[in-house]
Amino acid sequence: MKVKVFGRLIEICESNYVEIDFVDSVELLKNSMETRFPLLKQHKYFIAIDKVISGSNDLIKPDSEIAFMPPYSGG
Amino acid sequence: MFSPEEKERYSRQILLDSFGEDGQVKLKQAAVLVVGAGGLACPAMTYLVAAGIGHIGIMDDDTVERSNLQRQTLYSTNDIGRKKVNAAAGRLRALNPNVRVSEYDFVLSTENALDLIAQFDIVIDGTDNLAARYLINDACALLKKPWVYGSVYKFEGQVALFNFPLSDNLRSADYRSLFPEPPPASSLATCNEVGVVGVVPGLIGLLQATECIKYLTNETPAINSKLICFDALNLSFESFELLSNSSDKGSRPLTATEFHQKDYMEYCQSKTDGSCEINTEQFESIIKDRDFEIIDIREAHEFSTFSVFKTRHLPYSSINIEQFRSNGHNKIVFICRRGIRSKLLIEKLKSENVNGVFFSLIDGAEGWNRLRDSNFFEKGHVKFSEGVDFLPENLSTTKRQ
Repeated sequence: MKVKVFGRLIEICESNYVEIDFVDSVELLKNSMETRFPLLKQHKYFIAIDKVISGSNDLIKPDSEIAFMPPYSGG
Repeated sequence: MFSPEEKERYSRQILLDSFGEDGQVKLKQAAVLVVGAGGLACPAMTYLVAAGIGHIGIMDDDTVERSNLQRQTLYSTNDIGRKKVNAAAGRLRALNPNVRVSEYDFVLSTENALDLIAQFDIVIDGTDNLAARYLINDACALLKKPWVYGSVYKFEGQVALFNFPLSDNLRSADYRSLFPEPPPASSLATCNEVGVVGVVPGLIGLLQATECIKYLTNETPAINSKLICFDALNLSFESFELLSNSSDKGSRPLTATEFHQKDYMEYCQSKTDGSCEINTEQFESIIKDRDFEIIDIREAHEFSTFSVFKTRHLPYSSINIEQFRSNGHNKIVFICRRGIRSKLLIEKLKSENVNGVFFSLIDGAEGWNRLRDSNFFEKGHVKFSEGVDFLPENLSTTKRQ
């Protein structure tokens, strides 16, 4: 499955898209990404599934669009 | 209601079926507070005033710098050194003398926020820091006022209309729906730290003004309960739905008394781990001991020369974490312009399990220079050379699709 990342997370993941093995929960998704990119643990971000900002109990479908979005502060 | 001059001035928008003279009346009766007068606020204020907002309040305690001019288009070269609120107000009054422009030459605080925001119909967030953003969010929640969030990072931007009335007792999502508590300050970067292309805050500021005008004229806001993300490199917009019924509002104050007691600067700063940061006094002590190596990680274009004590210049963009691994046990103080990149570098070193004692100078070279008076430097201490805004990093290290 493909995960799109935004903002500073692009530098941590070294790409704006990351390909990972399918997982069906937000918690597993987070674990998978943070294991591969440990610096993610030091950043806050929200996760959107199919363009909806999701809670930790939401389920992921194989064709779901996933996004990791950090806060921005520039202005 | 409108003079012949005003009818001619606003004729193109009055022509719009869904806007008409009714929409123009609503704009004239509206009051908008713009917090911050930088890259987001300049385009937002320009178009709000041009459109005929009745009253605009400009709040900022900053002065115009040369490095602002690339994106803060209300200011000219002759304005350098002037108060932003004065320079902006002058330009806006010249653009449309029918608009009442109020100047607030101070920052938003818990002391003034509730009284001030209560005088306006909507707030535009033109700030560049989390403390101000959480303060706006919480004040607007208490006052049941909508506000338009905007923020940028390099070539990307976000915009959302928050706290919009959905019904008598229900408001749309707010910033705490995204981030109930502030993220670590070290995980964020301002335009001064990482650079920005001027058109990005320009575009986000225009979107903020657009949603503000639509809200005030009762048009359905397109981004109600949505966060819009813009990517200039791909020229793409994506929208994410926000859940307005999110119950986790973090430590948002529920009463005016709680709000007044909250120190937002400390609240947002306290989210850093703090373990690797040292203040100027601690830094002075380290200079005397000569026990630590001091590494300036600013880019070459950010400073010219300095050095009373021994330092090494190692631009952040050229650093390879492995070079610290080969040095055995490190004792290093990292200095950057404002203490953000230096802290980020230490986080990277720790996450890669590099041995050593690492410190980051709080507020970096800018903070050091601000605190040291001229006598201090005459005694033979260093004054860091003035930096310029940090330019966008080389994007070749990241892949984009």
